[in-house]
Amino acid sequence: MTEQRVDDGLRDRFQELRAETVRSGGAPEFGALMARAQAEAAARPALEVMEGGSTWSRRRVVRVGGWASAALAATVAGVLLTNRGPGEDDEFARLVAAYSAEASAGVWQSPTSGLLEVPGIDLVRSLPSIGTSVRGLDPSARPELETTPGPREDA
Amino acid sequence: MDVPELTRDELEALLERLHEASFGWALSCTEWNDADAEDVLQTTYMKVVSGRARFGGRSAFRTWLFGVIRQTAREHARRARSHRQRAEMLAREVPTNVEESADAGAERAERSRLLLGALAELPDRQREVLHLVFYQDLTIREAAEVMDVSVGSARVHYERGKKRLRSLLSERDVGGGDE
Repeated sequence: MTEQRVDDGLRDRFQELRAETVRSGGAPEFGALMARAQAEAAARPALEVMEGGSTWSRRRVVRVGGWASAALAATVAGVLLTNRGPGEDDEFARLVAAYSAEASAGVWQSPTSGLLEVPGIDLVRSLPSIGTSVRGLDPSARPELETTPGPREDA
Repeated sequence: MDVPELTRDELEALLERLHEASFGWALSCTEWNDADAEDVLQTTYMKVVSGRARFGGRSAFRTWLFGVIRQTAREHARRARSHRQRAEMLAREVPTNVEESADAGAERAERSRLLLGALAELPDRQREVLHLVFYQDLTIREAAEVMDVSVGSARVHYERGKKRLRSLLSERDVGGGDE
């Protein structure tokens, strides 16, 4: 079968590579490597163990933990800063304050309030109550009374 | 599955029996760098004898050990240098026997160099499965266990890897594709 022949060709190439690797020195001496491994095992601090042999040193755990904490803090700060738009309560308080300020300043006027501005309106507004004298009033506020001249006594 | 704990002597005996194959696999995992492969193997043995990597009996000892070597090589590569730098190094460092300068030896060395160069261009998973099947004589199922992928996934990597490798070898070589 062609496919099998092709596979065999590849397998031969790999086996040739394996032989070449052995010829060019091969694996280091087992005993020496194992001795170094045992010395390393004795010298190293305890590491976390997984079945596959993946290890995390304490330094790596601290480094990753530090970065994770910093990233979390930055995220929380970012969320707090960017999402601080006016809430419903804030908006309501602002409207009330604006309304109150305008009312106290007397800015608003009725469209028909001009009709009330007639000559002598000041007098009406300053009518003395019973028991008070007009002499106490501001003279400028007194209306000028037009008097028609009567018949002369001596005429 | 509860398996009897292996004694230190039993572990060492198993490691010694698989030592040559383990070194070949470590070479493949380190882009064929002798020094890195030796470091990886030493760290692997350290994990095994110290109990930091524990054989749980869920697979054959060899596939489990190859998995530990693979994991250790990845940790080593992260610490050492980038994959790109390692690939560049591969182009310069190829196992050749300097003393053997006769034609036959030179041709074998050249064919090995071509094969390694072609393998270096394959994605990691494809390179791994081809090495495990053709160099280590593992089945695809065993290779999948070493690589920690499903059998189906390993088979896809295997087929794609073969196709790509054949193509690369036939471009450059000297009898690689056999087609």
